[in-house]
Amino acid sequence: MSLGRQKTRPPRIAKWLLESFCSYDFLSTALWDMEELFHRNVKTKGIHKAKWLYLREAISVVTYLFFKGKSQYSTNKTAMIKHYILISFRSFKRYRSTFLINLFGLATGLASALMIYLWVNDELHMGQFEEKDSDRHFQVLVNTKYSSDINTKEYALMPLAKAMEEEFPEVEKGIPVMAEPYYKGVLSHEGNDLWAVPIFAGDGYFDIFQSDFLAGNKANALDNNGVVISTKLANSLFRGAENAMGKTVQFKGEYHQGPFVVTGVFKPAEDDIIPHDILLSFDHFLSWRPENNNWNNGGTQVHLVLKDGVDIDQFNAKIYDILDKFAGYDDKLFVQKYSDKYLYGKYVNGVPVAGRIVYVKIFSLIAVFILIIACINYMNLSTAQASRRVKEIGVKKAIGAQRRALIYQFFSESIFITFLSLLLAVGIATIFLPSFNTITGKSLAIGQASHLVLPALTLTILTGLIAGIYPGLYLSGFKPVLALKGKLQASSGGLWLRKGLVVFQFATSVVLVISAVVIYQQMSFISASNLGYDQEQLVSFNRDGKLYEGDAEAFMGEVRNLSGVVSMSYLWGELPGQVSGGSGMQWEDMDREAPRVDFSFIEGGYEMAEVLGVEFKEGRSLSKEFATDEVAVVLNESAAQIIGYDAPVGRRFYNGHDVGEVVGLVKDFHFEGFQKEIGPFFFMYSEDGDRFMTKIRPENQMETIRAIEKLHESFNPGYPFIFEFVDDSYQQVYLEEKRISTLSKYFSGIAITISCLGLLALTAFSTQRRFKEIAIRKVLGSSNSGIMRLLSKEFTVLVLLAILIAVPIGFYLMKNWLDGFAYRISLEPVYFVLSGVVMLLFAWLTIVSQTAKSASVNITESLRSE
Amino acid sequence: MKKLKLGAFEELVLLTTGVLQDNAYGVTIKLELEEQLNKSISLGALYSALQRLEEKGWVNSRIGGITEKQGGRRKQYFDITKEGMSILDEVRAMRNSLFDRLPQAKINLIKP
Repeated sequence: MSLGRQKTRPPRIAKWLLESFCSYDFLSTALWDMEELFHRNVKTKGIHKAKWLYLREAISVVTYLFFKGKSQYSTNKTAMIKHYILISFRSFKRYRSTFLINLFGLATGLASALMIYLWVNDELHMGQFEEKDSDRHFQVLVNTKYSSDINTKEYALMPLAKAMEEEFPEVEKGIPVMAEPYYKGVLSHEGNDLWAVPIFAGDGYFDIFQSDFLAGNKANALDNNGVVISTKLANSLFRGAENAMGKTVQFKGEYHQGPFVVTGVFKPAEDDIIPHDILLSFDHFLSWRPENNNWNNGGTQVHLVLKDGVDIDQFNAKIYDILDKFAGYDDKLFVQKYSDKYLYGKYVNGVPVAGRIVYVKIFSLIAVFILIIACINYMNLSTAQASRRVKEIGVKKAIGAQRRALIYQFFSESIFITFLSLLLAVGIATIFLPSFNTITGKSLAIGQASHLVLPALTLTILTGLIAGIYPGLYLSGFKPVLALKGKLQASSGGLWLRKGLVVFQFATSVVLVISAVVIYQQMSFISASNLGYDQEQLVSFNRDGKLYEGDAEAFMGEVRNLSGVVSMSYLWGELPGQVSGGSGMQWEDMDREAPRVDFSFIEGGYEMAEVLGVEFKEGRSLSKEFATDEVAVVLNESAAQIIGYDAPVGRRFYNGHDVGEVVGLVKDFHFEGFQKEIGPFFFMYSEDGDRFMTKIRPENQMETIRAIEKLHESFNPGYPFIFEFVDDSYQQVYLEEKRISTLSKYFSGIAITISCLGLLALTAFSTQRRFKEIAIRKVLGSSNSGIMRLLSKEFTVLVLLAILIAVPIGFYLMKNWLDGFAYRISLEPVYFVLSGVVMLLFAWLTIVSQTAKSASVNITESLRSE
Repeated sequence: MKKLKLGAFEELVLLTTGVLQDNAYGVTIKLELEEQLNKSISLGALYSALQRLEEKGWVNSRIGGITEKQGGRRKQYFDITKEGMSILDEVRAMRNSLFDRLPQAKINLIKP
């Protein structure tokens, strides 16, 4: 048969469906019709559509056979499956509580797995654009070596994009992108002003970055004086996208201003890695700051479109020290696939290692474990229940049922119940998704996820198979004679397995609880820790417009006079995190041979350290009173240590521009996040700075802020006043960890619930079996509490064992996680004890609720039954 | 006599079977119906209707088209029976008489 004909065959799975469910006569009729239709469809609708239609028809034929068709048209398989479902229903009805526990447990597990799947799927697709060149899209990253380690940054030098395009044949296109909130400006149209963060995009930007255009043409949008604006701006300035097209707007930033014509309106993507409001051509950026276009100035991202089939390792080797040739720097270059950056955005020693992918992996694992816990419940309950079904199995075997048929029966029962659970799970997930979205900061939805159908079905069938393995193999293996007698050989192997599964289940739950406790502790440690500076009542807002140019002093004077204001200054960047850094510092008695040291510093106005509430150890803050303070510095303890002075005040220090005196020494404080260790740092004076910092009194906050806003308006008309409390923005830095903390709390709760559900059913079951024993013991004078102790002992031992196993695992996992923080809690034994106690408490409550019932049972009732 | 009912979809299938005469089998009935109704019809639904019709004795089926090429597959043709024709006639007569009783004013509604 030729290859061409091979391809135009109906899908095999559909044919298999028909062959397994249609009787011989009916099969030939159906196949004739279906194949004739198929060949017709191939001609008119194309092979793929035809295959799809074939599958749909096959399913419709099989469903028809299943629900309405006459038995002579279907195979025995249909009848068998119908029979299995009927039996399942009957056993569900008869053992209602077991069924409900199974259903609820599996549904909760599946719902968690579904939600995690949605989240993971979303994470994996973040930063993966669908533009045409996306799989050849790489970003150039820069490794700078410092004394001890290598620092990876995405900021390259201005001419690099062009130089790489010219130098390397592998590069099809080099696209510079300037995306720094620092270059924000005000966009105005007919007296309306709005803040806008621009991206200055090089030629070819729209080939690699996804931008959803509502109006305009991507191909030439940034030519000449074109500006592309977001829907938000279009709506506020022009009432709509179409209305905005062709209108002239003014853009005014610190260094750049000019009239632009709106040539496009884009809808910002929710998963945009760099939030921005407008797009301008990179050429404008260079024309505004031509002095920047040399090998001494950095700050631009460099994106490359590589030719097909370029070997990345070879290419990386080629560009490794190209900066030396271009610019005489010893920084090293490498490229990373842009779509990998979101998940693998963490670099150690200049090599991308992991990043968010860690959380993706952790949560996938959590989903798997929660599902396994749920499956174990099912396994344990079904086998524990076995004695009740022994007779059914015995009869079946006696009349000739083969073991295989019984295995089928139990598997179909477990798959059937997981399907029911899936329905419930979809309901649960739909209810909880909004809260899940609030926690994760995403906008996931089940309804839109048509891609979810296949994974959900696979997941369900897989869960059903796993859940059914043990009961299927165990129950089907009974010997018919013994089974009919109702006697079960007490296989110790099965009992051990069951106990082992319970231990595994609880160990998993305990690990989750330990993680939740530790993560929670670390998070509260971070938010409660003394940062070394005082964030409270610290308000920051932009310094721009006239306030940038010279009215700042007058403005600050007026603000300081307000009764609600304690002090005020300004600085470059933001706290924590966005501080400047450099390595060219020098000082008295410096060892010239020693490796360079990277210093961090904050440039800004006088009395910065006071406004920030940094504690002084020695000396004073930079002050207007001393003319020499223009070049003076205030060091922190780490800096003093590196310099090697016990008493640094009065010594000379070169800050990279000027030589001045050290006038003060402050205690170490966290100018960066807690993940980073505090390094050498200094304050220095600058006339410039882009943010005001104002310390206000806690009373009448809003009045004070309103008064500042009024002053701002009169000094700086046309610039909107947008303020934030520094402690709020500090919380943002740990948003991700906070989310993880909340999520782990919920998921460990779910794991506990499911485990306890299983325990509940198991205890109920085992106490029921010992009904008579209990009654006899009571007759002989046992007390209620004695009986409860007797019944609880077995499971308590199991839970204790689980805790013992879980503690080292939890310790290992959490130690690894905490290693990511430079400042962290130590793993106190109390966390593990606490987790264990919580687990034990829940388990006991579960057990006691069951045993108490049976202990208080009426003796005569239970003894009379036989 | 047991009263046999003709469902709306069955009626259409029965009519189509009659219209197609000697060439009525799964595919042709399906395509004809789809063209008339302007919506897609699944083979499952069609088989179910045809089998009900056959049980009630309103269509007969015969086997044809067995060829080497089709690998033993059989084409199942359907023919309308005399009883089938008479039930169609009955249904039609009942509808016509009802329609005739419609007041002129209602009939005017559909005239331009």
